[in-house]
Amino acid sequence: MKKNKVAQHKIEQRLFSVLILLTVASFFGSLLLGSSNINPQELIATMMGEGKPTVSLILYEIRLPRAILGMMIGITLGIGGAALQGFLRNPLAEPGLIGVSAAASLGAVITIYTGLSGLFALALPLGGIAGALLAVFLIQLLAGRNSSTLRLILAGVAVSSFAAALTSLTLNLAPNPFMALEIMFWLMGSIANRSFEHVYLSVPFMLIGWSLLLMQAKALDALTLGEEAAQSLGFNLNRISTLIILGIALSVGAATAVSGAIGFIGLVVPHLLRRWVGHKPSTLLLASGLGGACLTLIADIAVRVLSTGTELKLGVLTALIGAPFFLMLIMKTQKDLP
Amino acid sequence: MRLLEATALSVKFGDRTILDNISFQVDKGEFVGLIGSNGTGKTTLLRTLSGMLPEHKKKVNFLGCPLSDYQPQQLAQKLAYLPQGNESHWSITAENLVMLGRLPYQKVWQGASELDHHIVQQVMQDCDVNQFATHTIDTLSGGERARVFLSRALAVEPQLLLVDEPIAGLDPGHQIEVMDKFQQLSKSGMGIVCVIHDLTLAARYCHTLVMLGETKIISQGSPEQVLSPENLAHGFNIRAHISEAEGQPLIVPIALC
Repeated sequence: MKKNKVAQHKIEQRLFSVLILLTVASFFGSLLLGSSNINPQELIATMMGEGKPTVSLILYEIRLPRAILGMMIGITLGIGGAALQGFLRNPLAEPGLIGVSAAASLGAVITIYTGLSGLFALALPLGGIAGALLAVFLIQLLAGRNSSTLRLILAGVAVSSFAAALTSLTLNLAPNPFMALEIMFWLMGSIANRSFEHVYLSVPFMLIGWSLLLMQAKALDALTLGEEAAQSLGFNLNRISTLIILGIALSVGAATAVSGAIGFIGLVVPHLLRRWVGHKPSTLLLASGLGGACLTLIADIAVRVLSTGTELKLGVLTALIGAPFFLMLIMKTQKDLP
Repeated sequence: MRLLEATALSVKFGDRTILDNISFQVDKGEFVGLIGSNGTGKTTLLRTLSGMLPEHKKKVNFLGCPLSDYQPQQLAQKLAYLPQGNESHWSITAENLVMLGRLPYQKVWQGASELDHHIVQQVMQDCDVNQFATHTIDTLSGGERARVFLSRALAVEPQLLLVDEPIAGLDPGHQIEVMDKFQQLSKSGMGIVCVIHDLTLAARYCHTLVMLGETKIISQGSPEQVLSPENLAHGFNIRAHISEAEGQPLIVPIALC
C-alpha cells in the first residue's frame, strides 16, 4: 500500500516536470519559429544585447509579446476550464459556458463597429474586458444570491446566447463588407501582431483571476462529496460561486479581449490530465494551467509553420484539432467503462 | 453534558411547512435515532441542525452557543454531516476521499499536515478500510463505500455526527457492522443523530428515538416508549409484531392499518 501511495506522488511529480519542461520548450519554440526562423545562437546573442537589429526587432516587438500572450492565455483557459469543471462537477463544462467569452467578444466587436478601435489600439481589449465584467454582473443578477449550479448554467447560456445575438446584429449592421470581415477575422481568435501593450493590459486581470480561482482549490476538492457535504466542511457555496465566476470573468474575459475566442483548450486540457492527477480537482487546476500553456503555444507555432498564403487563425486550428480529439476521448472513456 | 439543543424550530419552504415547532436535544455520548415515514422532514431537520439553513441558525444551540455565532470552519471542526447516498463526483482514491474530512483544519494555501495523515490512517484502520486506501472510490462495493464515507466523516474528529440513512442499501452484516461502529463511537463520547428506517436496529442500538410525523414530533424517548403499537399506527400507518429475541427488541411490520 505504501508503495502505491509513493507511486501516485511520483506520477504527479513526473507529470509536473514534463509539463513545465514542455511549456518552457514551446515558449522558446514560439520565439524561434515563424515566417523567418531565428536560430538559438542568434537568440542568445540578442538576449545578451549583441544581436543584429532586425533579429532584435522581430524578437522583442513581435515574437516575445506573442509568446507571453500565448502562454498566459493558455494558462488562463486551462485553469478556467478545470475550475469550472470542478465547480459544476461536470467534465463537459468549459470557461465559455458562463457567457464570459461571448460577452467579451461582443464588447470587443462593438469597439470595431463604432470605430473606437481605430482611434486607439487598446480600445478593443478594453471593450472586451468591459463586456466580460458586464456579463458577471448579469449572471449574478440572473442566477440570484442563492445560486444553484443549474441556475448558474442557465444564466450563462442566456447571457451567452444574447451576447452572440448582439454580435450577429453588429455584423448584420456593419456599414461595409470590410468591417464585417474585420469583425469576423477577429472573432476567429488569434494572437498574431499583438504588442507589449496588450500584455500589460491583460496580464494583471489574468493574474488576479488565477489567484481567485486557485484559492478555491480546497473548496473544489470538498465539492467532490456534493454541495451539502462541502457546506458541512465549512465552505460557503454562494461565496465560492461568486469568486469562481469573478475569477473566470477577469482571466478568461481578459484573454478573450486580447485574442478573440480560442475554443476547446479549456475543455480538452482538464480532460486529458485528470487521470494523471488522480482525479483530484485541486491538483488539476495547476496541471491544466501548464497543459493549456503548452497546447496554446504549440498550436500557435503550428499556425505560423502551416500558414501559406492566408494566415491560419489560432482559434480555427484549436477547434479543428480539438473537436475530433474530444470525440476520440469520449469514445475511449466509453471503452474504459465496464 | 448537553451537546445540541433546538427549541421551537419551525421550517418553511415557501408556503409549505416542513417542520413545525420541533424541540430536540442531544447529549454527549447519546445515540439518537430519527425515524418517521418518507417526507416527514427528517433530512430537513438534520440539515437545520447542521447549520445548513442560515435563517434557522439562531434557533440551534451547539455547545452553549447558537450556530450563528460560529465561524463556518470552526463549526466544521466540531460537527460532521454525512449526507445520504455516499456520492463522489470524481473517482478519487479512498484515502484522498477520507482526507477531505481534514479540510476544516487546513488553511487556503496549506497542504495536509503530518497530523492529518496520521488521523486519516487511524480512522481508516478503525473502519477497516485501510486495504482500499489506494483504490478509487468507484471500484468499491456498497459496504466498502459506506465505510470509506463514514471514515471521511470521522476524520473531522467531530463531537457531534449527523448521519442520513447510513445503512440504506447495505446487507444485514454490513448494517450491523455500521451500527456497532456508531455504538462504539457514542461510548467514546460522540453524540450521534442518525436517520434510520430499520426499526429493529433502531430499537437495539439507539439510546433515544425521535419519531417524526407530518411536520411534528409524534413521540420521543426510549425505544420501548416510542415504538408502541399506537405510535407505529400513527407514524407509519402499520401494524407490527413487537417482541424480543435473545433479550433484544424485535419489531417486524406486518400490515397496513
